[in-house]
Amino acid sequence: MAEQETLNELPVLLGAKRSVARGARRGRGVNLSFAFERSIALIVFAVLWEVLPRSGIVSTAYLSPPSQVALAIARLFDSGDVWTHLGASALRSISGLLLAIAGSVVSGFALGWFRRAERIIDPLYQLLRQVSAFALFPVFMLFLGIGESSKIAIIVWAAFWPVLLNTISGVKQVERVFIDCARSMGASQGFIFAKVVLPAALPEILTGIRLAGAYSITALVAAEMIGARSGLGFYTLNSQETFQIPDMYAGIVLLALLGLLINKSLSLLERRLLRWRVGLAQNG
Amino acid sequence: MSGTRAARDKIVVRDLSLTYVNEATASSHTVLDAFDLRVREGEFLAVLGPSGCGKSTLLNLLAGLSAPTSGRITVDGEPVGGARNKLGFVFQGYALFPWRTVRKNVETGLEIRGVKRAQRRSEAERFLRLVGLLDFADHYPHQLSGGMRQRVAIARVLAYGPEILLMDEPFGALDAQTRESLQHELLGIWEQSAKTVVFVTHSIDEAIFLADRVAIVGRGPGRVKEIIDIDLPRPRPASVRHSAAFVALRQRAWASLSHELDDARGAPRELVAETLTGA
Repeated sequence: MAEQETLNELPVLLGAKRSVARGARRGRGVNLSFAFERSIALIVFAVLWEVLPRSGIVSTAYLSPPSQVALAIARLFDSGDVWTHLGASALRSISGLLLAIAGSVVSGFALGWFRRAERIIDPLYQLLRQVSAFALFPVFMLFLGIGESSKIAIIVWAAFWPVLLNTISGVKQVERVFIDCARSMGASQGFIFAKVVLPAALPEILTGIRLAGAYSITALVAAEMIGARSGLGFYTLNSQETFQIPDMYAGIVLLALLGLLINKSLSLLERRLLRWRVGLAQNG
Repeated sequence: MSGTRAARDKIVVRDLSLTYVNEATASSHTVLDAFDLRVREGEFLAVLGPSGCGKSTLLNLLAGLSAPTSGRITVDGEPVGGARNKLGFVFQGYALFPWRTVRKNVETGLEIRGVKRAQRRSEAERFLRLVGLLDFADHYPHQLSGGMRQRVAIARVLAYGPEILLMDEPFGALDAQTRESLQHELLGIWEQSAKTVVFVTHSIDEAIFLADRVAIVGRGPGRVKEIIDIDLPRPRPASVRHSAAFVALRQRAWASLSHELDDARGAPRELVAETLTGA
């Protein structure tokens, strides 16, 4: 559906004509069947999930049906506990993500611009990015303790690399003629960075940020399963340990929703920032 | 027009050389060697030569975008590095910023000069009106045709008021009709300004139609072979292309260039001839 809406929102551009025509063709009553198509898999999945534990094929000690999970989620909202856990998780993942983006965009700019520096540092970061964030968790705990900083550090580590690599490649690929053009108009280095290299590299940087958003959720769960007293990761593991199986699944579902929310926000941001690319693919 | 102006030199290029050294193969390639050129204030100078003669390289050096191996370029007696503000460059590939609307593209030079937003806007609109694209101010470059894009690029360069326009085959990628109408527009704009233009092209007709003088550049390595004065009256209507004087000038330029083609080492004559007659 979301895709459908964006197609109709397109301004009447040269390149958009085709898409709009496609949207219009779909528009007459075909919308419904499109929505139906998009929900088949979800409905089948939910039905199977409900039927398997209820019919006794899978024990309810292992798998709670979605109706019970929904009740567990409702209870979490009723008691207000959801805000403690969701809030803690959101704060950790978002602050980790923002720190990672800030650091990686700045260093990616430097490495993408100064070819020599990149040649020197490339072997090092190729090695470091292979070091799993989870493997480093004990190290972070040693240095930063068991508190928030080590949890955020693991998220920063996981989210840092995709943004760094994409920023470097984006900056390196900026067409020479744009930089020459700005220089010919007398632009300062600062102007060239902020108003030429950054917007030119932005599509790639944003792709990296989307990836980083997904990685940050993975790292978040791992961090919250070790030595945390709040957060959806903690809640999920804690529910399993206390045999509150519907609550465990509630935690998992909420984590998935948090991931979805972050992903959607990032793709909205991407669409907002890259409006100029609408129709570009068709026109070159 | 050139005859009525005092022939003060605006740009002086003296003994310019540029050699690329390929460190990997320890070989070098000399693009320009002992290149001399004087561009008079307010004149329209066309630089005409076959592909690969170094005319685009020359323009990059004039714009200070790259540094020569040796030699000097001065603008109003100053070294070119300090004269950036007097120069405007029009690229063959337009070089419009795809993430900026037409309006914002035209404002770029003013933004660099710290001009206030409101004034930037009205200046940009003035020049968009001049090139007939005010209605497209809020479009993005990729929504425009090639001819429109090059008009935007010209408006962008005019907007910040450089005294010198350096144009690198600006109409090279356009179809013949669009090309002719842009040549007309450019002449119209130039005739009302006091700008000095250095216009690089490989089309004999374009060079003669536009310029006060045509500098013919030979290659291997590039240097000025001959400068032809174009004494056709201005303003020049499209029909001037069929006048006897125009045809005579074309023949003269052709003779000078084909002499160059005889000298061209390695390149098949037909191939080079093709690059010269196009459009």
